[in-house]
Parts: sequence; C-alpha cells; structure tokens
Amino acid sequence: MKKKPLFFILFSAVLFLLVYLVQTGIDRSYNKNVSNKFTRLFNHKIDANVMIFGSSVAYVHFDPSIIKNVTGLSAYNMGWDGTFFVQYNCLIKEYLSYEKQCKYLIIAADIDNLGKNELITRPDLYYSHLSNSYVYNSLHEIEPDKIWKAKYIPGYKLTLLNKAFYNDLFIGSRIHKTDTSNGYEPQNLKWDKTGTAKPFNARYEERIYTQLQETINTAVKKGIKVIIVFPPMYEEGYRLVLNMDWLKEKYKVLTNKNVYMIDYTTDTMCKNRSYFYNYGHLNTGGASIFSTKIGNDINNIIATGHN
Amino acid sequence: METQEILTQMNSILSKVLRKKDIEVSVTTTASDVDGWDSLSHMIIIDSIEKHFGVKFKLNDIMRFNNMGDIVSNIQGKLSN
Amino acid sequence: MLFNSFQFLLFFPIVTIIYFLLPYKLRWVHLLVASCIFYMAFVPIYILILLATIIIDYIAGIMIENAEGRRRRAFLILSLVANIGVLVIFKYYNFFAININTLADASKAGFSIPLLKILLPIGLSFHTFQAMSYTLEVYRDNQKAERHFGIYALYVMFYPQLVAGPIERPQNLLDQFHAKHDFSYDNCRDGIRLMIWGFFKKIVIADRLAIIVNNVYNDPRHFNGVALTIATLFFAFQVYCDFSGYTDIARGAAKTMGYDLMLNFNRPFASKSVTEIWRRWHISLSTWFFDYLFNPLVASLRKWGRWAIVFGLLFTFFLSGLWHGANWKYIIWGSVYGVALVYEFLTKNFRKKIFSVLPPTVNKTISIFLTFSFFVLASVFFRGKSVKDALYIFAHLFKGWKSVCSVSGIKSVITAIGGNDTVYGSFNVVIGFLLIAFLEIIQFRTKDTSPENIVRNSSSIVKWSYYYFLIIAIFVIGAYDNQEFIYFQF
Repeated sequence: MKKKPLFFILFSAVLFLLVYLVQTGIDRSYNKNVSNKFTRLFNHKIDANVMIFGSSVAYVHFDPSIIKNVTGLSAYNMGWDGTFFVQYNCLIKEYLSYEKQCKYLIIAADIDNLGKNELITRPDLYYSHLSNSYVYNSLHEIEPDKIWKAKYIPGYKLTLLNKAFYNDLFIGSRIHKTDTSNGYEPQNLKWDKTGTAKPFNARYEERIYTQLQETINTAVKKGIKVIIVFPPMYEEGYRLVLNMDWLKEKYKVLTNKNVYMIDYTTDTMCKNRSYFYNYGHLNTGGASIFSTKIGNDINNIIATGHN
Repeated sequence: METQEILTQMNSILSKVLRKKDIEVSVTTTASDVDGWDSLSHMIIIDSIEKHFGVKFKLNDIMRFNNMGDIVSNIQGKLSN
Repeated sequence: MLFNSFQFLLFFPIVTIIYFLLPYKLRWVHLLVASCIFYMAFVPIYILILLATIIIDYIAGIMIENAEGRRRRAFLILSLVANIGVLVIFKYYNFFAININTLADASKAGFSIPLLKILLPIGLSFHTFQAMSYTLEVYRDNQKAERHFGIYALYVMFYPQLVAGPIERPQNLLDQFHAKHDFSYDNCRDGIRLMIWGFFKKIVIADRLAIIVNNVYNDPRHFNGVALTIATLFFAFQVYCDFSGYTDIARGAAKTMGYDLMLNFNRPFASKSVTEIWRRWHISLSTWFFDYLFNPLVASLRKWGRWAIVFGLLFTFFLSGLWHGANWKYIIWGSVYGVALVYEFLTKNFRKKIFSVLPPTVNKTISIFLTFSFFVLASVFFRGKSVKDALYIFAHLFKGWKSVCSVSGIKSVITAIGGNDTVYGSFNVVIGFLLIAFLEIIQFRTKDTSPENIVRNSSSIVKWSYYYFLIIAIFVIGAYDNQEFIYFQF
C-alpha cells in the first residue's frame, strides 16, 4: 500500500510534463507557422525607418507606401484595433530591444490611449509570447489574474486558446493580408455614426502616463526621434471629448528637441465628413490624404528639426 | 384464511390481470420476480386483489408492501377481524 | 462554484486531503464548511434559505417520529410546504405572475402583479427535493429521524451533489455520514477515474457541441432543415454529456472520500421504449417523482383502473416538465413525454404482438432507433428559446435536405452552423461528429460495466496513455467560454 500514494505523485508528475510539452509545442508551432505582424515583430523580422504604433487610429490611418513615396523612408504600421498604450507598450519595448533601430517612432494617440480596457484585446495574438517579460508585464496590467495563471500554471493557457488562435495556427498567414501593405489596413467604409452622442471624458491613468514617459525616454536614448500624433477626428465627435485640451497639455509636457507632437485634430480635413466613416476614423480616401500630410510633416522635421 | 390458499388465489388474479399462464408466487416473491408486474401495472394488480378479497388497503400500507408475504399478512389481518 | 472552474481544481484536492488528515469526529464539520464555501461561491446570502429549510426539516423529522396520527401528517405537511414554498417563490413566482398578468391584460381586468427581481439560487430544485425525500421517508417509517443536526445539514448540503444531484435518499446517504471512512487507494483511483471521464464528457464533448447548438438555436430562422437537424442531434448528446458528466464528477468526488452516490444515468440512448428512457435518464429524479407522486396518486385513484395510471402519468410528467423550468416550453416537453408514456402503456400488448413478428435483433434496433428519435425530437422543446421557436424548428426540420445532395451543399451547411468561419466552423462540426462516435464506441464496449472503466483491464501503458489522452484533450479540445451546466439553472 505504500507504493500507491507514490503512484499518484508519479502520474501527476508525468502529467505536468506532458501538459507543459503540449503547451510549448503549440507555442513553437504558432511562432514558426503563423506569419502575422506580431510574430514578425517578436522574431525581430521588422525593419523600417518609421515605426508606427497605436490602436485602430494607427492601424487604419497610416499608409506606409504613401509615407515612403513622400519621405523616401520605409515605414511599418504596428497598429492594432482596440489596443491602448498599456497593451501595445510591450510591442514598442520589444522593438526597442532590437539591435537595428528605426529613425522615427510614431505613437498615434487616440482619445483613450492613456486609459485601460477591462479586457485584453485579441489576447490570442500574445499567448505564444507570454515568456517575453514585456508582453507579460503589459498584459498583466490589464488582466492580472488570468495572465499570471496563463504563464505559471501549466495547462491553464491551453484552456484559453480560442477560435482566433487556432484559426491563425491552422490557416497560418493566409488571412493576414496586411503583410503586403506593411501592417496597414485601409477601411473602405461609408459614414456610420454609431454609439451615443453624449459628451464624455477621455480615460486617463497616471501610472500609464508614467510608462509612456519611460518608453519615450528609452527610445530617445537609442537615438530615435519620437513623434506623438493626434490623428484627425471629425469635429462633431471631437467636441464631445471634454478633457481633450487637458490631455494634449499632458502630452505636450513630454516634448523636447527629440520628441515632437503633431496635432491633426485642428486640421481642416476634420471638417469634412466625407473623409471619415465614424467620429474617430478615416476611410481609405481620408487615410491617404492623412498619410500624405504626415509624410510632409516628417519631411519638415528632417529639414528643420521641428514640426 | 390459510396462507397457501391466499397464494393460490393470487396466482389466478395475477394470471388474469397480466394475461399470462402459469404464474406461481410464494411469500417471498417480489414484483420483479413476476414478468409483467411493473410499476405501471402495480396499482391495477393491487386493485384487483382488493376487489377479489373484498378488502381495502390503506395508502400507507400499499407503500410498504415489499413482497407478496406483506400483502398476504395484511389480507389475513383484515379477514380475521 | 462550478465544477469546470479553476477554483474547483484547487478546492477538490484540498478538501479531500484535509478530509483524510482529520480525525473521524471532525470530518462532518469539515465537509459542512467545505460545502458552505462551495455553495457561497455563487450568491453567499442564499445560504440563509438552505439554513432555514434545514432547520425546519430537521425539526419536522424528529417531530414526525415522535408524534402519532394526525400530528405526524401535520409536520410532514409543514416540511413539504416550506420546501415547495421556497421553490415556488424563488423559481415559479415570476412565471405565475407573468401568466396571470397576460390573462389580466387580455380580459382587461385592470391589474397586474409585480414581478420579483431575484436570481434563482443554485441547486434549489435539487436540494429541496432531497430534503423532502427525507421527511417523506421518516413519515413512511422507512427512515429513523436524524438526531445529529450537523449530519442532517450535511445530508442536504454535501457539496458533490448539492448543485445538480443525484437527488439522494436518506437511506443511502445518512448512514454513510455516520460510517468511518478510511483512505482507500481503490476508492481514490475509481473516484478520480470517474471524474476524469465526467470532465471529458462535459468540457470536451458537451461544451464543444454547445457551440454549434447555440449558433443554430439562437437564430433558427437563419438555417435550413439540415442545420436544424444536426444542431438538434448535437443537443441530445450535449445535454446527455453535460448532465451525466456533471453526475460523474459528483459521484467521483464523493467516491474519493469513500461515499457512494446513486447512479443517475445508465446508457439512456440504448432505451427500447420511451418508458425505459426514464429508467435510464436522470434516474434519481424519475424515481423521486415515481415514489412520492405517481405511486401515491395512482394508489388513491386505483378504482379508476387503467385511467388512474393514464392520469398519473400525464400529471406526473406535467409536473416533471415544470420542475425543469418555469416556462411553457418545459411544460410542453414534459407533457409530450406524458402522452408518449400513456400511449406506450395503453398499447403495450398490441405493440408486443406486432413487433414479435420481427426477428429480435431487428426488433431491438428499430425500437432503439424510434426511441432515440423521439428523444431528439422532444428535445427541440427543451432547447428551443421559446415555444414559438420550437414550433418553427419542428416545421422546418425536414426542409432543405435536397440541398445537401452535393459536396458544396454539405460544405455550406457546415460553414453556416459552425458560425460562418470556414476553419473553425468545419472543425467544430467534424469534431462534434467524431466525439459522438468516440462516446458511442466507448459506451458500446463497456455495456456490462461502465464507460469510465474501459481501460480497467488493459496494460499499464494503455491505461496511462488513455488517461493522459483524456486529460490533454480536456485542456486542448475543451471549450471554455464559460459554458454553464444546462441543469445549473434548476
């Protein structure tokens, strides 16, 4: 009978090992076979002069091919829908750990950039990178309990792998057309004003603002020029954000000879509804015009040292 | 009435109700021993027994019948009064 | 607390290990505390409901035993009223109110009853029935009243079966709480084996099938007959795996500590008649209704002869439907079974004669097929979001089958029911069929024992590989978007 409790221990030990192997196997397979901009970033395969980070206001606004035409600099769009600075900070930090660096780092600041979602957006894009401490720290800020368990308890992550993850794993890079457009995803949509039309305050957390400062400092130390961009907003929507001026002041504090701020919310294109498909997002036509503008502003910075 | 006599009469009651021949019960027979005596035919059998012997079982007694012997002793108790 | 949660994965080993470390005298305290924690993980304040009914039933049990004649009946009625009362208020009040209001509206009576905004306490339908079986058995002199308050409380609250059964009888359970359980490797191994199989059925099979079922049943008008049929078929297996899986986890958890809970499912899809279904499906509930409702009812109406049974069946299944949920669709579902059972009862000899012309294997196969088809069709009412939806689904089950006579037709159905996502959608449908096949093969091969024992007599390598396969499958193929147990809301 003394052998029997040992039996349970042995069984459990082999089980833990098996589960750990399956988990690791799935992660390796994902990193090898899935070719989306996230895995390419983490495999250090992205090489551009202008790196663009942000939420959907980065993803659908900045056209790298137009920027290249205007500035002669290669560009890559790492923006992704629904992610705020606290989440995509890990992407920037990972990029900054490369040996070869870009010349310009653009951070597209949308309204809630310095706030926090309750849930991680598209966690499946990050699950196979949880061993990366930047990724772990960023995601842990948003859903600490779940991410802690996903990293440290073997098998827990397996229960989180969902439809989106397996879709990517099995179809691989087929569905990510964005590699041909360097991360940019134009939105050929018609105007659709969704959501309530009530005034509101943009979200803000001091702790996240501090993280932004740190990341900007790291970039500057590596000789990169940082450009904080406020993308265009349709003026009717812009007026609903009560603390916009205050927010802009906070960002302005961060500017110096290496950190620029370009505010397109006061640009004339904000009055023209035909460029937008909702309050905060430009359609394809609007994005092309905007990309040209940002290209020109980058040229200004190169030429004169300020915007 | 003697136990064996009651049992003999039980045999003919069950044969009639269940439409089977050659049913033979003893005091230890339970419903599961008799083909066709299931939960649904149970009350019909009880009713037929009551009509045949001219007795009326109490609800509590019916719930407590575990085997043929219980029914037989209950009947004997009623008939001797 | 849900069984398929991380909390339970911690709760179970801790509770079980402490159980065996404590001296016998303290174990009931430990189990009671653990059961309270388990229950209060849901809505803590509801523990007061449990406490109230436990106190009432504890007192009623002792009083019934000590009293004579009418007084015994009075205390029994007190217990029944308390339990049913709690059930009516928390589960059925709104249903009655809504229906009365609808009638009042239609007849322009000018009043309306307010609705209560309360959440249904988990396991209410289960523990109230289990408590009532206690007082009923004491009343029938089949059970001695429990004098130890803590043990009685444990009878009601024992965590493995607190939330979704099996609905136990005092004769089976109370004595076990008085007995001394030593650690037994065999019990532990059997219990854990049962739990693994239960988790597999629930998390891998039931929850994965649920994805397809939910897609279709949430918007039935969007789908053709083929899709509706597949989804309904999947639902039959989903509800079986969900509920029997839960029961297996419950019985397994109890077994590791040496407790035996009654069998609740016994290969129901092998039933050869609708009557037989209820001897194999949710056995603890059907025997409860049989012993405490049907039997006494038919006994008191026995002078009606066969019609007593007809009435008994219809009434019992009407209530059984109502037990499953405060909604007309459940009542219809139950009544459909009542009608089917009446039909089988009245035509028993006739059908026997007709089917006896066939060779026994054909007879058996046809019977099983017809019975299973009935089960699947009846479950349209169980799963449909409303009576209206259910009727729509019925009317359209056999439409659109011509379109699947081509490969592209089949592909489009699979994509549609999988949620219009080619990879994941087809994956789920194909995996669904494979899992059902896997389940049925195992059930078939373990006809004479039980499914969790399939590799019991195999070599160690086969055994370990099989269990590792099940466990890894639970992690990888399991569906985890917080699918709740279907019977959870009861």
